[in-house]
Amino acid sequence: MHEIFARYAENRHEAVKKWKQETGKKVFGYFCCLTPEEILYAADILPVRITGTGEPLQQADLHVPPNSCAFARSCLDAGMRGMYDYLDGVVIPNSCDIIFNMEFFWRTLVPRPTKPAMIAGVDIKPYVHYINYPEKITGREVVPYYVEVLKNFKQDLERSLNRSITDDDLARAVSAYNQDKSQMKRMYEMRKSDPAGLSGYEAWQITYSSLLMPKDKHAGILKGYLDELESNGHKAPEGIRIYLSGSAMDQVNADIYKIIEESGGQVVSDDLCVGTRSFWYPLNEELPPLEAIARRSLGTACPRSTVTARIPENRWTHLLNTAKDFNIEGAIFYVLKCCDARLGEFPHLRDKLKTELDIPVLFLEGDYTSEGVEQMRSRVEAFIEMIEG
Amino acid sequence: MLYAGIDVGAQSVKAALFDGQKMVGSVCTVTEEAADEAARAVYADLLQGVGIQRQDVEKVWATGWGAADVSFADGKSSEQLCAARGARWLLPAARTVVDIGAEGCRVMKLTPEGTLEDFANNSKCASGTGSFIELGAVYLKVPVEEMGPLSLAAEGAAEVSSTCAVFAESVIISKIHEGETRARIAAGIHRAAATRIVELIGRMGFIEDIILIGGAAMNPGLAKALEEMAGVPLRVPENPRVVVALGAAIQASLKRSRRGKSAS
Amino acid sequence: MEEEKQVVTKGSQKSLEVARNAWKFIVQDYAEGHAHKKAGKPVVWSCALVEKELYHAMGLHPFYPEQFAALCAVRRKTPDSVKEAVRFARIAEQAGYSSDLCGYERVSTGFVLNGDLADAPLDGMAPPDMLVTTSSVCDVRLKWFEDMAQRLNVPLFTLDRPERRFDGIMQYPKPHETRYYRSQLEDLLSFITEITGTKYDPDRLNECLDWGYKTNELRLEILELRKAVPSPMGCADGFATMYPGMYCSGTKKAYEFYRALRDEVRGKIKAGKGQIEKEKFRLLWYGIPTWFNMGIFNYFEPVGGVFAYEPAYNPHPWPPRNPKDPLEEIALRTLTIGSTMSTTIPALLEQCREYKIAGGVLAYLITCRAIYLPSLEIRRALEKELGIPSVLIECDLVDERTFSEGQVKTRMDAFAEQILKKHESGKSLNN
Repeated sequence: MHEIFARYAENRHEAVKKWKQETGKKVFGYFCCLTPEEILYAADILPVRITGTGEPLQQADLHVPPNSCAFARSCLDAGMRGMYDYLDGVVIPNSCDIIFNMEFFWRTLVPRPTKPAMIAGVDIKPYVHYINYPEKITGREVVPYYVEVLKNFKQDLERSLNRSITDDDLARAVSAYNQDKSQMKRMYEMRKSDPAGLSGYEAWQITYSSLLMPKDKHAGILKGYLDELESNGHKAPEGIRIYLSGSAMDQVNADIYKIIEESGGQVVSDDLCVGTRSFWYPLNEELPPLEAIARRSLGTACPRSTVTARIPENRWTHLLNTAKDFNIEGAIFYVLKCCDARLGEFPHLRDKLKTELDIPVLFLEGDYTSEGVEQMRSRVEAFIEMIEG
Repeated sequence: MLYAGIDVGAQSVKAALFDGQKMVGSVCTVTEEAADEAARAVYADLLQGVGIQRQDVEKVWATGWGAADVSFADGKSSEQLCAARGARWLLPAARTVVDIGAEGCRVMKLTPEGTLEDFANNSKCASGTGSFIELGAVYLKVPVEEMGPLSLAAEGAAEVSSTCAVFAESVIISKIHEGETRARIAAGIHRAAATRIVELIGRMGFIEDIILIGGAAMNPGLAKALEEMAGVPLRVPENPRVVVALGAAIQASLKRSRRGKSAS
Repeated sequence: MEEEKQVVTKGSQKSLEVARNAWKFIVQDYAEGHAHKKAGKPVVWSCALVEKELYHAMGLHPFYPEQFAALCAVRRKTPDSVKEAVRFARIAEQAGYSSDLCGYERVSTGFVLNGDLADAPLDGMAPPDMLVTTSSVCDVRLKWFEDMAQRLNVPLFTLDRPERRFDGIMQYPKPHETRYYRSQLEDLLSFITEITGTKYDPDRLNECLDWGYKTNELRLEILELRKAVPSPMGCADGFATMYPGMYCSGTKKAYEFYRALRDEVRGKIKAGKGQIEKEKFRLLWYGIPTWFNMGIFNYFEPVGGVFAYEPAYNPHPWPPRNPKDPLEEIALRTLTIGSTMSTTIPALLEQCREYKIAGGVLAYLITCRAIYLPSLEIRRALEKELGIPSVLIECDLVDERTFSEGQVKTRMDAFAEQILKKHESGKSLNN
């Protein structure tokens, strides 16, 4: 395993802080794979995905009620405890009811390194940038609307950083992101074989680290690593081919991949944000770059989004696309307690997986702790054993 | 050929011997020993009781919460699979198996051919499991094994509306203050537990025959409450506590060691 | 507390005649909906904060799954059976919907899965020709309606309303937001026309908006009247009478309903009559009520406590009528209300001052993310800014299985003691 990926996956804060120290550049944290992080990259900022700790809360529990998303609360707690004090800014999109409110919580509860610049109640150099991401990602007016939203975001960034972000900067970002996407897709394709070209856990480490380091750097390292794997004829341990879907899958609960492997399974494809959703959608380099970024961001099929289709089924298409060519034998859904978007769509997806692809489904209710993941071992074992027959 | 199955639960260890046709012996012991020691002791009891030696047994198969710790097992399988195997063997028309233990309740759904098709757990909280009834016994100051008979002696049942075990104490105390008899409260507790279990069975579809196994299946009050709330008959095999161990033994007779697992 | 109080689930005692009879309005509205369907006219299932006047202008009769779920929370099929809400929620849970999901979603999904839509209170909701939802209030309703559309095999339209985050002096929606939302309204009208054949008639919409506007003005007047001491209209009355304004805005009958209500409230104030004889302290109810246990609003009456104000379902001032461009008017109406905690919490504090609130009961609705998310911050703000104590009551909106009488009773009693102590020690309760 290429140790740089492991280093990022296991100790993300240290790895990013080290990079910041070495390069002297800025780092912004963001929530969610639909965030237009390319704009940050264009401004020479490293965008890093915000994740939580999975530890008992120390401060956030006084502000965010216990029923709410354990992932979001844990992220906020990490922020309040100063674990993200190296961030120069935070970007929060209107992903879901909970993340949307993180804008308020992070702004009021997490100390910021820079001072606000207030003009009549408006902070023109905000620390927390809010992006009014549409709920409906298709529609005749959604692209012009969202491009306008991104122009506002870009303007806030330019004021905060005291620099302009030109179309050339954006175009360079688009190109770098596409390069990384093509290597990620390549890695993804390698898991179609039986046994897969690399294990689910390795693929997760590579994906997770892509959200923590500059895309051009990641693309370079990944290309070299995949070349190496291919020339070695490397294969992952055999196992029942598993499709993994669900809520936040970061360093807190990624042990689920190992548990699946130890139980005789292997994750070969997924429907996760720290997974296929983070690289699936290419940027159209023929369009003006801000529009290309807007379209990529809108195109991300996160469960919280809806579409204009008369009787919406878009998520099923995405699931089909990422499941069919991989000879999936079983699907595991790991869903956090408050995640209504996924909980609501689950029965339908489960039924369709069974009737259209004849794939059995295991539902695991996650609590965003590593102990919680361990407790699922017996169920995962039972599920895989049931498929083995 | 003889096969042994050992079910290492949180509170007790069960073992069963299978000769390819039927169960020829079984042991069930409540123990607080560590899994491996407890398993050894119970296995020794089993062999002694049947009058055979270790070398007479072709394979030993472990299951249950402590299965991984059983050092002398040739392999292990999940409780879900073993419950399905055991119940189906004893009652060939089994399509749904309900295993109610102290820590949790699980429901297994079988295909018409008898293989495990799906399963669901309810270990989110104690209500709907043996623990809820145990708690009730504590607050009613009644030995736990008498809860069932007590509930059966009641005329009707007190309304135990909250199914959350955290509030069990306050609910029971308020019922006592209201003048409810212990019998009716016990009946109410059984109905509340049964409600949760029936909801779980519903997720698997209520396909008959529905088999009830596990420690709590020995509770006649619970069995009755379940049948009433489910509206379909439930079948309880002769020795419900050892069905999973039997299933492990049957599993041993069917399989080699599982792919990817190391057998000791 | 001298008396031993029972918190059993039961209906509320309302202090106003109009409130006591409001259920008839609901029954009548359902009957009209069923008649509408029988006559071959189109029915839509929708939700709160979609601008209802559009439906009435386009000849649709709307039903509201969320309101229907609340209805199910109080009804039983037979005196011995569980509440209909529980029956339906169970059906949904057995189909795989988590019990952590929004209560409204579970109940209405269970109702749909049950198959026979008439096997429900008031003959259920008539089979829909279309579903319309909005991203306002919460995003659960987006997936909920998507799911229902698939199950019913009926077309769905989603109104995508941008979240309104206002900064300091800039309290107006940005032009691109208004343009975007307005395009949604236009698309909605096209959608309805495609399905029903009815063309959009601006005159008809203006007619409905006239009624809607007048109705809203009446509701604002009533809100203002409720500030009187003693409180002439409480939360039980408020929740009982929100239906016409929330769900029938744009009709004459809604207007007439509130006119009668306004007159009754005026009469009460003139006569100096409050909800109860000896009003000692006034409470806020934050959140949607526990529909299966509305009796909770009378809980403090024996010790002089009344529920005086509830922010849920209450109207905001609307922009002036713009008959030349009613769609623009509707867009502004929806986009000029802030949706983030930095706007809603100060507004709540202001209302507590206006209504002379001495304490807050915050409904911690365990499956309603939109309501519970700000609850800890609200409690903190009430304490810090106004010195007002509050209590959190854990419950579900419609599913009484998780309701603990004992826990609620204990908390409410302790809370009342706290407030009474302040009252007896002479500290001002009217901040």
